[in-house]
Amino acid sequence: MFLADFHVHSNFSDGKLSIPEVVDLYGRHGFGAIAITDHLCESQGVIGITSAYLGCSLTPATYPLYLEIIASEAERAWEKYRMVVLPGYELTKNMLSNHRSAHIVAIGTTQYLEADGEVIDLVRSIRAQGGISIAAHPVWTRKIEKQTYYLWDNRFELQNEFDAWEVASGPFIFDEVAKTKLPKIANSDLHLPRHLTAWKNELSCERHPEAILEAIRKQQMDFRFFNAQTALLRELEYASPRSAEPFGLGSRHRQFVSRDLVYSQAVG
Amino acid sequence: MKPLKGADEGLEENLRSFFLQTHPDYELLFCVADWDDPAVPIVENLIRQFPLVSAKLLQGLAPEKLNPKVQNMLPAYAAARHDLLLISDSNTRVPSDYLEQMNRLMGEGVGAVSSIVAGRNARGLGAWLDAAYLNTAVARWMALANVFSHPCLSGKAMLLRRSVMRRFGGLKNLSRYIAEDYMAGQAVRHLGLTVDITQAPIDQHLGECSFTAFWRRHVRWGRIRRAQSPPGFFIEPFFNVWTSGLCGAFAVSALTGFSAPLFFGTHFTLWAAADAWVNHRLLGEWDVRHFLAWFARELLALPQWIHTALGQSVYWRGARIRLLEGGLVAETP
Repeated sequence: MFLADFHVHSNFSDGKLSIPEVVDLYGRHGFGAIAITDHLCESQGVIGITSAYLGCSLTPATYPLYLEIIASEAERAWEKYRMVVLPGYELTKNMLSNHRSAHIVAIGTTQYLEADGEVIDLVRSIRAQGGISIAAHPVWTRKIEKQTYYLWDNRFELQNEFDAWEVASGPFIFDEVAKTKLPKIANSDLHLPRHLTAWKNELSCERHPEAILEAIRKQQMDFRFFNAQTALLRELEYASPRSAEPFGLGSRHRQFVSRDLVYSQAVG
Repeated sequence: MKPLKGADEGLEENLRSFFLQTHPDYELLFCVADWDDPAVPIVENLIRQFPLVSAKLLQGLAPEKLNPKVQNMLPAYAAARHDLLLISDSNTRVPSDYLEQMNRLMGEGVGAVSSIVAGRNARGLGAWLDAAYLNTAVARWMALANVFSHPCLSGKAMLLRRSVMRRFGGLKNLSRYIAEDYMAGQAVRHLGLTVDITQAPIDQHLGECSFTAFWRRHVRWGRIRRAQSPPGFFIEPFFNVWTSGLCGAFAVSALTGFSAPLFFGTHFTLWAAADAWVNHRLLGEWDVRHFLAWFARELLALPQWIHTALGQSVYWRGARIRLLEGGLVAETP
C-alpha cells in the first residue's frame, strides 16, 4: 500500500516549489505516487492571458520544458524513492462568476491542450490521450478564495465524463461529494510545502503509471488524512489498524474529518 | 562551444583568447553551418597554432525551422567530453583566467553562470549606439536581475552543466525557442537552481557597425523580448530617461506644483551620472563619445520601441523568423 497525491503544483504555475523540490518533499515522506498538475489557463480570457503573462500558467512555450523536467524527475524519483511521478495539468477556466468557472485535473497526459473549449470536449480529449480526468474542488473549498462551481452545477450531465471527483481538497472533506455515488479522489492541491498536510489516496496496486491510473478508474483506493508535522507517526498509523482506519467510499468518513482525531488516534 | 557564422572583424583575436585559457583541462568545439563559412580557415589556422589545446571544428545541423544557432551547436553538444559546457558567441573576447572564474562560481545549487558584456572598440555610429546600450541598460538590468535572483543568462557567455541540461531535455529542447539563453535561464529556475554572474565583465569587440545594422539588431532583440515577456516589454519605455523623466515631471508638477523643468533636469542628471558610472565600471575609461552615444540612444529608444511593437517577425542569419507566443520559432519563407 502506498499514499498518492494527484493534484500538485510547481513553480511552472503558481506553486512555490520547483518540480525537483516537490519530488523530494513527497519522496522523503514515503509517498508512492504523485501527479504534477500545474495550471493551464484559457488563452482567450482576460484572466487566462494575465495568468500566462504573470507566469502562473503553462503555455505552449513552457510545456515542452515542463514535460522534460517531469520525465527526468520521474526517473530520479523512481531510483531514489520508488515513487511514481505522473505528468498532468489542471485545465483552468476562471470566469468572474464562480458558477461559470471550472478546474479540471488531467493526469497521465502528455499532449498540450488548450483550455478554451467546452468542458465536455476537454474531458473527452483527456480521455482520448489515455489520461484521467478529475473534477477539481467542485464545491465550496471551505476557504476564502476563487470558487469553481460549474462542474458541480452540471454534475448530472457530466457524471459519466469524469473518472473521479475530488471528495477532499487539502484538509477539508466535501460532504456534498461524499454523499453521492460519484467516483471519488482526495488530493491536497499543493501549492506550498505546508499543504502537504491534507487528505490523500491510499492505493494497493503496483507502483506503475498504468496500474495507478487503472486503480483510479476502478476506484480501488481509500482515503487517509496525512499530517506532515506528525509524519514520523505514520509508521504507527500503518502498524495499528485502529489508529488510521481509512474510510471507504461514502462510509465512515465523518469520524476522520478532524485532523486532531487522526492525530490523537495515531498517538494513542 | 563556439557557434560561428562569417568572419566578423576581430574574430581571430576573439577566438585566440579562448586558446590562451589557463584552465588545465578544457576543449574548444567550433561549430559552423557549412564548410564554406569564412570562419573555417581562421579556426583551422588557430588549431594549427595551438596544437596542445584540444580543439575541433564541427558542422552543425540545418536550421529546419528551429533556432539556427542551437542547431549549429547540436553536434558539438553531442561530442563534448566534459560536463561543464560554456556556450559563447564568436564576438566575445575573454581574459586568460575566464574559464577558471566561471568554474569557481559553479557551486552547489548553481545551475548556470553568465557574464555581463562590455562593448568595446566601437567604430561607426551603429557600434557606438550599440556600446551605449550594452554598457548601460543591458549591464544594469543583468546586474539587477542577479541581485534579485532572477535568472538572467546571456547567450554571449553561459556556462551550464550537461547533467543539468539533460534534466530539461538538453540543448535540443532549446532549439524551438528564438532566445535559447532566456529559456535556459527559465529551465534552470524551474529546476530550483540559481544563475550567477562573474564579477568581471567580458568584452565584445564591436568593430564597424552601421546605423541600419544597429537598428535592425535592436528591433530583433526587442521583438524577442516582447514574445518572451509582453508585460516587461510594454513597460520598457518607462525605463528610458526621457519618457520616465517627462512623465515624472508632469506628474510631480501637477500633483505638488514642483517645477517640472527642475524635476526633469535633476532626474536627467542623476540618470546620466548613474549610467556614466556603470559605463566606467565596465570599460575603465571616460570618453565624451560614450555620453554622446548614450544621449542619442536614449533619444532613439522610444521610436525604436514603437517600430519593435509594430511587428512580430525578425531577420536573423538570412532568414525571416516569425515569433510565436513565448518566443517559439516559426520560420516563414
